[in-house]
Parts: sequence; C-alpha cells; structure tokens
Amino acid sequence: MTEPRPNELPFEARLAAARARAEGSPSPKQVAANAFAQGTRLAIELVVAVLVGAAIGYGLDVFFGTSPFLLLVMFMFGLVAGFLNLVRAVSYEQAKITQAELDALPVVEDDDDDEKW
Amino acid sequence: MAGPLEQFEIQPLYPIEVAGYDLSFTNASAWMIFALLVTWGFLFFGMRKSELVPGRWQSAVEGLYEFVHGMVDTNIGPKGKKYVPFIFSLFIFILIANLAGLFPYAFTVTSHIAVTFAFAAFIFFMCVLIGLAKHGFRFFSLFLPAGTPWFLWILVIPIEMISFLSRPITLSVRLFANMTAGHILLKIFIGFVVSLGVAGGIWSVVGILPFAMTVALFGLELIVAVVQAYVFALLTTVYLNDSINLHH
Repeated sequence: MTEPRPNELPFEARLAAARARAEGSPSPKQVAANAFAQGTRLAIELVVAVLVGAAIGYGLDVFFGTSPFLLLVMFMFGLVAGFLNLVRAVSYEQAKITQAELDALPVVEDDDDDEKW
Repeated sequence: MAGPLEQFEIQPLYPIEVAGYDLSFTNASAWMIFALLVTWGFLFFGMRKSELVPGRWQSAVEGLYEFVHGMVDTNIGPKGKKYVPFIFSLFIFILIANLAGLFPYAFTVTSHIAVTFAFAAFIFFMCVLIGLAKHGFRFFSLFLPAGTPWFLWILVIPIEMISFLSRPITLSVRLFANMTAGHILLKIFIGFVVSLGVAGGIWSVVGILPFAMTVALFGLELIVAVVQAYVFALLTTVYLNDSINLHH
C-alpha cells in the first residue's frame, strides 16, 4: 500500500479536506441571486425614500395650503434621504468581515465553559 | 390557460361576516396556517427526543436556531438575546411561506403587500416603542447624528426622518416585489411551454427552450425565497439594533 487509507490520516486533516470539498466556490446561480437581491434592495431604498418624502410634502401642502412648495422641498429631501440610505446599505455590506479575514485572526484557547452571553 | 396574475387572487374558502366586515377564511389564511403547521412540525418532531448527540433532524433545527442566534449576536450584541425568539419566528414563517408558495397550485402568502406590510409596520412600531422605553426622548437623537453642526440641523433632521420613515416601506416592498415578480415570471414561461406544446409540429420542439428556462428560473426562485427571508430577518435585527443600542 503506497498511500495511507483515509481513516489513518489524523482527524483534523480529514475534517479540513471535507470542509474544502464542501465549501468550494459558490455556484454562478447563487452569485446571480445574491447580486439580484442586493440590486433590488438598493433600487427600492432609493425609490421609496423619494416617495415618502414627496408624500410627506403633499400632506403638509394639503394641511397648510401651500401647494406645491412643500411638496417640492420634501421631494428634494427625500432624494437626499434616498442617497443616504444607499450609502448606508452599501457601507453596511462592505463593513462585513469575511470568513477568510476571521480565519486569519489568531486563535485564543477558550478557558471557560460559559456560554457566549 | 390561466393568466399570470390569477395565482395571486384571494378566494374565500369559508365566508365569515362580522358587523359588515368581510372576515372570510381565505386561501391566504389557509396557507398561513399551513406554514404555521409545517414550522410546528419541523420544530416539534426535530426536538421531540432532544438527544445529546443530535440526529439529522435535530441537527437541522439546532443549525437553524444557531444561525438566527449568530445573526442577532453579530448585529445587536449581548442585549439582543431576548429578541432571538421573535427574529426566529419571523424568519422561519417567511421562509416556509416563501418555499411553500413554489409548489404548483400553492398560494404565496408573502406575495401580498398586505401581509408583508403588516409585518413591517409591526416591526416599525416595535422599534419605536422599544427605543422610547429604553431611552425616553433621547431616542429622537437617532435623527441627529453625533457631531452635526447646528446650521445643518434644519437639513439633516428631515432627511433622517424620511430615511427612518421609509424603513417599513422598503422592508415590505422588497419581499412582496421579489415574490410577486418571480411568480409572474415563472407563470409566463410555463404558459409558453403549454401554448407551444399545443401548437404541435416544430413548435412543440421549440417548447423545450422555455421549459429549460422554467427549470433554471425555479432554481433561482428557490434561492430568492431563502435570501429574501434572510434579508427580512437581517434588516429587522439592524433596525432593532438602532432602537436598543442607539448609535449609528
């Protein structure tokens, strides 16, 4: 026998090999679906903020009888709020720590049996 | 051949009328109860034995719980522990409603904005009430990021308020739009398969193309169903975090 049978390898090595097989790279379909989810999220963030701003402006106009000035002002505010939402959504995605970065962190031995919380 | 929008029709199964209001038991109600029963069955039969070394089913239940637990932990932190059951219920209900809707002849509960907006509005008021209960009027400092110079207040406060008010709408529209668009698309391509098959001759062979497209779309819809349930639960934790920890 030239190579060791799988069971003779140390457990850690077999676990690492199995993990590598199981993870692999995500399928194109998965990437597409994630990108689609991300895209619709960003589009909806922008549009909805503009609509909410315009709706508030319209409501205030009806209340104060100042049509259409508050509508226009709140429409602009809504647009800015929409872009703010966009920036926040994108920076939230970027702030996520990737698994590779987590793996690169030094491992500290867990010295107690307490739960995380 | 049914139109692509007929699948979203609400049909009363058992008419009930209370004081002039139509409170019929509809197909939407039936599928919500179905989602509830599947959730209950999944959790009950998975945890019935609750062994120290879990079997496959118990592992699935525990894995799902750990997943939600981890999501709440990373987004809210230690104070979020008591909200894990709420986020878990929300996630699993939307997940199962989304997935059940993909079966032929099924009704997709989450493809109705009435349902998704009811969730989102509940979450919105919950966030406001938790914020007010925990921080009192300091909760409204959410509308004023720390370190804003005084002459920008008149610009920043309305912008932040619109941003805050748009949250329940984005939350509900995203789920509803994704589910509705996906189901319409599936129905249209399936309609092509049927009409090309009926046309006969060479057209029946061409029908393979929309059929292949339907299979591919169905896989995509499976992923969308899971991802949207995840995004809904994730954003709920993000919004709850603002109310509980009150800083950006």
